[in-house]
Amino acid sequence: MPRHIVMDPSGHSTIEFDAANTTDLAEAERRFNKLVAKGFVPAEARGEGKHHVPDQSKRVFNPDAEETIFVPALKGG
Amino acid sequence: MILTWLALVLLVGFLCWVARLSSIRASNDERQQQEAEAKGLALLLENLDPRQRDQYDRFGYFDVVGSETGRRYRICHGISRNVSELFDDNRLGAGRCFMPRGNLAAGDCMLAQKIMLENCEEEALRVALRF
Repeated sequence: MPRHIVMDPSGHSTIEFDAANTTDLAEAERRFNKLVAKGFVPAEARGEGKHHVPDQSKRVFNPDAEETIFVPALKGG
Repeated sequence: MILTWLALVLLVGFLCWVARLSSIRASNDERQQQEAEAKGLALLLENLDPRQRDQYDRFGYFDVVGSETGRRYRICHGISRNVSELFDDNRLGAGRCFMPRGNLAAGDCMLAQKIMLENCEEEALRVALRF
């Protein structure tokens, strides 16, 4: 089942959704857009430690992604 | 006299109750922090490649290759001032301090640094401060 992993102070939250269910999918897309608007960077896990991060202008919801990790916006230390 | 003693006993009881409450709260915070650290570390390990995982298990750091420059970076266990450039001979170069916003566990923080350097190096270096 596809899942969204959102990094947060709890050590991240995982939200699974059914890609065959239109309501679930719409909710997942809303969540994706909301997080990206807040500055989170979506990284699709590709296995074996590899990830794919779309260019800043192309960060749109991919319904086929099995696992997307949302990284909060960065700051300099 | 009796009233004074009664007031004193009530005050001491109240102070004990407040101290106990604070202790429970601190213990809960500590437990939540430990759970967050464990979750973050598990996610990091799931997302390292086999070489990085082996490196992290043995030394507490792992190396990544920048997506745009091909430069190598070493990410040490931690949440800040834990990323350095690597020279060809594996000597540590300039430090690059950047981290995700929010109070994240170390595992999540290191995973965020790895993902960004391996995929959006420029974006990461733009905000990073040298040390």
